[in-house]
Amino acid sequence: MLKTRFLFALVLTLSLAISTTPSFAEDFGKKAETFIQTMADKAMATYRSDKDEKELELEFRNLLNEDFDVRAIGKWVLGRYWRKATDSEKEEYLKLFEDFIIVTYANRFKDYSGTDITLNVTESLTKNDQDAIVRSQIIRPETAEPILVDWRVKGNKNDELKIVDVLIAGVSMSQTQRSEFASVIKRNGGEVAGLIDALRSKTTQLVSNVNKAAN
Amino acid sequence: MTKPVTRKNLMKRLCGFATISIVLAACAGQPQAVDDENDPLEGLNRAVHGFNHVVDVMLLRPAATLYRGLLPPPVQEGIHNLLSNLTTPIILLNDLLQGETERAGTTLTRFAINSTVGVLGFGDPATEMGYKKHGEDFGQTLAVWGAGEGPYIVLPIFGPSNPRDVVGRVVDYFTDPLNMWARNTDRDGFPIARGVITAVDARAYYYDAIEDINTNSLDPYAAMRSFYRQKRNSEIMNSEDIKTKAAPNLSFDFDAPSPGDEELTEAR
Repeated sequence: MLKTRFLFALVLTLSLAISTTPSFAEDFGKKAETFIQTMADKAMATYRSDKDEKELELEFRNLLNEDFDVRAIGKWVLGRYWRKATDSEKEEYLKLFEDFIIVTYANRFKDYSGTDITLNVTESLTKNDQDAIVRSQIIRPETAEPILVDWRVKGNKNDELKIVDVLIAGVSMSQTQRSEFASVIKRNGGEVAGLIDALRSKTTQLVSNVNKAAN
Repeated sequence: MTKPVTRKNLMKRLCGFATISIVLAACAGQPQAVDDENDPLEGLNRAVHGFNHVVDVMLLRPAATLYRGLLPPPVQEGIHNLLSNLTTPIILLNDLLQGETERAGTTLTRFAINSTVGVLGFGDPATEMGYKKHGEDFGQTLAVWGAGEGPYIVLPIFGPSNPRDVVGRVVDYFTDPLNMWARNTDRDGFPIARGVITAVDARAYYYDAIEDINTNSLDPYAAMRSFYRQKRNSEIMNSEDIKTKAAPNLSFDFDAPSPGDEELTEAR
């Protein structure tokens, strides 16, 4: 009795799986749309609240690590130099990369925090059931033209959605950074260490700018 | 009076000829891979980039700061709209040269609405009516016709470019009916004044983005180079269009490498 019931359940699951396969990609697109809208609303709410600098930074760091695949981005941005880097360089690079992203994006958000901007997801394009582009518009009250922002969303091994790239008006932030980092490495004799030094001093400089502005 | 061909002169001529053929050969090629920096003149380009930065800090940036400080945002927006309404003939011509009849229709409709209801283009009611703005120029037309971009070039004052876009700029200048009118009526000041206002407007309009690159970038030159190439590619693909009807994926290059492609990163 138990056996037939199990078989029945198995057949039912299989047939369901087969019948829904073609729309998996579309489902992923819808899931990704909701994911981006939720993330944006959360970020805006954080910035509208009157938290102090330290708390904001912490929340921003959590948000970034929760919704972005920082490691995959960092790795990809380093490009072919990832393989050249030693293990300790990789570790230090990824840590610095995260700090660098935090401080630059925190600055960007702060520039807009005074104005009442809204982000609306408009549509999504799907490549497959683990890869989609979510298109959105950022609307600012002072200008009629919205900023077009595309979010590349991928599903990871644990089936979690993660942002891997942000494209502003068609320009990929990851691609821009990749060319920039490659150029810095090239100008430092092809050494990843040169990039690590540059990242460290830039991040320190940006953090001290933020602190100066806050005081 | 022909100069005798000395050895030195001949070398000079040969070098000039070689440069031109290299540039043209590079132009005829296939679209550049995004990772290929294609910047054989990097040393010279960096010098010109440095010069442009000085000009920006001394002239353009203060002008844009004043402009933003003195004019209320709606007036700035109005001037921005007015200038883009004036580029209608170039957009229309290039829509047609690319065989984009539907977009050409949008361009015409926008011009009709904005020049009348929008008070000579100061307002942009057409966007609210569903006729969204798009840009088009002869550099993009050449790309659609199959010309490659060629090596990266930084022009003095004008900034990032490439041979294809240089040709595009020149053709745009000469095919613009407003410039023709100015030439035929000896109003030499008109294109210059328009150029200066356009430059200040653009610097003010993208003020935050430019400051962002200059503050946050580890190598602003390399960032600008990548930024320019990607921006042009996106404009050529018309990827600002919301989902093209027939093939939605065409408006976005899904096959370009992206973060998360682990095997790609490892394989290189």
